[in-house]
Amino acid sequence: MTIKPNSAILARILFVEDQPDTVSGSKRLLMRYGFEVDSAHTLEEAYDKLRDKGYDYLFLDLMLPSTTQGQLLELGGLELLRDIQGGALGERNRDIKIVIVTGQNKSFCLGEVPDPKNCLMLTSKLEQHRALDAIRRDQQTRAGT
Amino acid sequence: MEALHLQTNHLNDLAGALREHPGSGQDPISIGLSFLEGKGFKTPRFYERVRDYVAKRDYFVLSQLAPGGARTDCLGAVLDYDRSRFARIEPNGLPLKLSREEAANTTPEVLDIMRCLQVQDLHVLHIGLSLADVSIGQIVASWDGDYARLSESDLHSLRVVGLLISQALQAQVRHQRNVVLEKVRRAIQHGSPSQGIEGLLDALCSSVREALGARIAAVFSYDWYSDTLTKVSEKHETGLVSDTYFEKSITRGTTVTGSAFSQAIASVVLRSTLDDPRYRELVNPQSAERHERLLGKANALLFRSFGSTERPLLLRLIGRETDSKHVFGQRHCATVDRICRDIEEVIGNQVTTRRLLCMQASAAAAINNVNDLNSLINIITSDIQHDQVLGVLAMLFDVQSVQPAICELSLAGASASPNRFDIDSAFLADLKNCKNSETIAIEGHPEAQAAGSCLRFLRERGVRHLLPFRFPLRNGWAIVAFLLDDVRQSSKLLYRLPEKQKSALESYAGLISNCMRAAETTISADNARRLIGHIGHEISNPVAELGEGAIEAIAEAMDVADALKDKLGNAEHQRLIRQWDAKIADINKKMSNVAINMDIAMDMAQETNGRIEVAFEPFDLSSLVYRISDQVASEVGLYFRPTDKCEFVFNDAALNYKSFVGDPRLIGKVFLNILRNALKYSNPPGGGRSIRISIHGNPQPGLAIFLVKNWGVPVPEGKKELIFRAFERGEQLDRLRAKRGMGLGLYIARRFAMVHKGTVICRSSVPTLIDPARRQREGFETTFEARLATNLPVGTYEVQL
Repeated sequence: MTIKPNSAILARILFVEDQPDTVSGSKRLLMRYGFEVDSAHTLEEAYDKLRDKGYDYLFLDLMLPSTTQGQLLELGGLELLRDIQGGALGERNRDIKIVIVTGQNKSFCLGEVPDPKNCLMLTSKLEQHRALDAIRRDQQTRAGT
Repeated sequence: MEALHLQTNHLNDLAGALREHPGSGQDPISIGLSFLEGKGFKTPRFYERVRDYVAKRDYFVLSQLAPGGARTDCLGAVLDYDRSRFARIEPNGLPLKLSREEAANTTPEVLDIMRCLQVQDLHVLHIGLSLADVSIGQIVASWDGDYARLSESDLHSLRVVGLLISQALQAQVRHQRNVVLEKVRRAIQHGSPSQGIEGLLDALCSSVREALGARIAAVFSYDWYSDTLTKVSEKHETGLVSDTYFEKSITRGTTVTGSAFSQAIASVVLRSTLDDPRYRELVNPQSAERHERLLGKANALLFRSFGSTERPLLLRLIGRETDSKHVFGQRHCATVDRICRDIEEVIGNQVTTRRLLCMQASAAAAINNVNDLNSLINIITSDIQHDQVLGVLAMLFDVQSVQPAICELSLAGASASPNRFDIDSAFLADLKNCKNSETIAIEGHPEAQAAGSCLRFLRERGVRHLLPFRFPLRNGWAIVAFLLDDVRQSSKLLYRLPEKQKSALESYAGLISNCMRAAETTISADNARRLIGHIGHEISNPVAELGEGAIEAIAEAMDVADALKDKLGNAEHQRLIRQWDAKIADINKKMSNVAINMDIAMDMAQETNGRIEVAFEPFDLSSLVYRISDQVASEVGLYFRPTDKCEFVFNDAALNYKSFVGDPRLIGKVFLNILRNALKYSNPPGGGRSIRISIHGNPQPGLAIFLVKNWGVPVPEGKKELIFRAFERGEQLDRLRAKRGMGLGLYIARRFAMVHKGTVICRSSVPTLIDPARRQREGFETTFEARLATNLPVGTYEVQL
């Protein structure tokens, strides 16, 4: 992945997605807009990167495979979300703004999110551009404050 | 105008009623009673009873006009007006007291008569007159004529005439009053008080026509008035019913004056009045015997006035509460019994056909607004009156394998009403055993042929069983078959049907067919729903990959353009970037549309075979609706230009549903789809203005109601229910506007509202502007209403839709 900030980096974004082709366009556009974009294709990789490096935004697919106690769970992203919001990944990550991206029914996922705090928005994989708009608005808000 | 009914014995109530015709704003009852009291008529106790009765009943009842004492003469007037509006027949045999809503709750027998007469849209007002209890002395004292030369019977008549003219007509027809008075005076001078009655009736008919724009449909009278009244009744096209005519109609079969319909109605009224114990309390006890005779006559006339096919129904009606001797009176009992036997013998089971038609009409009316089988089950289970619906549907669909509940309910309905579901068991045994329709058709039974077609039709649709549920007699099968599209044209099936009923049958058939199609859709939709769920889930990722890949490619191209900016030149570079930005926006828009549809599809998939799991919990409904309105507002670019904006306007009540128990996921879908629908079908306002959608709360006891109003594409009257069906979309105009969707949004909205014991309806779609050009531009005002129960219990449930 080539990171090509246009100028100063606006913010750091981590995409956690096991099917990278479903987010390729969004990542590319974010880079064009000046964001630093990183990717994690597995849950373990996401944990590592979050521990190693600070991010401002997280694009998180809830439907990530995860092995918990020997049992394969599809909602691995949910585990990560709970750990982030519960502080298991450090205080720095507790305030990370999260965009939940899912191929599942949004209504379904909405019910699964433990705490909507810091969830910037919940969107389907087909509407990631809405998340991009939300991030840009959030940036403007931060700049304003 | 409301149907007014008042039980009283005095003509001045007629005056009050006439005075009270629309717009006067006066209360005819109080006017009438005040007048009576003012004149000191009868005893206070009597009027108290009248007043109490009126207060409780709030209607006018046909009473009697009697020239005195035990002589119980009748002058009943049935005003027949405004056929475009109806009213109701009151249950329990009381006279017509009419409103559409309550008609649905009246007894099936009375409804049968209504349907047979096809008077569903008749608005009837009864005005009854009775002077039996009038103080003769008072009247005589107030009348300044010369009574010395008159006989006692003429005096009675004169008193009647005098009261009628001097009191009843004074308010409404002052200019006619003098004319009538003059007639009466002349009549008196010529020693013929019945001439006065003629003048009275003439004036009455004229005044009614003038005041209400209606005509008197029928007049009851005694023999000694009938000759003179005939001329007047012919002049005013008024039915005239007298002793003589009663006798004639029963014993000789002659036709009485006036239309049979008018007389039938009048007879119903008279019979009901005479049969009403409360009325009996108000009349002279000495008249009891006379009442009994009149009752018999009235019933006999009633019986006679109906066509042969309706008579057994009437018998049922009459026989429901009492035996025939009581109903028809001793004198007429034998005659009537003979007629009954003759009719039963002649027309045989044709009554069953008519009865079935009534059932089916009722069923069709009940299920007309039903979108699917599950909704129908809801109606059925909530209203035992509609057990006939079960019969029709069970016959048509045989949904035993799909919806066991229907089968069970059908059986319950059959056992609850064994008489209604009588059966020709041998015939049905043949049906069940037949291998194909021809087998039965060869036997030469039209019913069997029809039933064979019916069976074939059902089998073609995967029917595996015949339910142990029966229609009355074999004709039921013929009618059911008639209702089916593919055999409706069969002339053999029409042989029993009166010509005038065919169009009505066509209408019923259409309703049933619509219901049938809806049910078929639902049944197949259950299977389709699972498929949709899978597709919805599996298609998201590939579409996302395609879209994201395209965006990535365009973004790379933009990067290249950036790198080559110097060579391209600034203008060309900007042009390319704008062009590719637009491309990305277009891709995003298309992906959003796919996302919306996938979301809906997966909502559909949540429901399995009519069942859905819900979790009712307390939440802030207003906040949810507000958030959803924000989301929908952000989608405006999907349907309009990117620069257009959408504004949702809430009233206070809509923002005040803070505490609500329901499933927020599903409630969210209800409003998402309603608001999205409102946005999609709004007209772009132009002039830089925002698209405006209003959301009004209208709290009712036990209900949270939201009215969502937009201005744009109208919902045609005939489509207001259709749009709630699965996969149904508006026609031409929608497609012209290229609104993307599968026709599931409103379907889901209603289904999920039903989960919350509510519904979603299209309440109105009306033009707000006279100017066609502006209307075209600014659109129709369309209001959708979402109703949700507010008393749901917290918890997790599996709800049957």
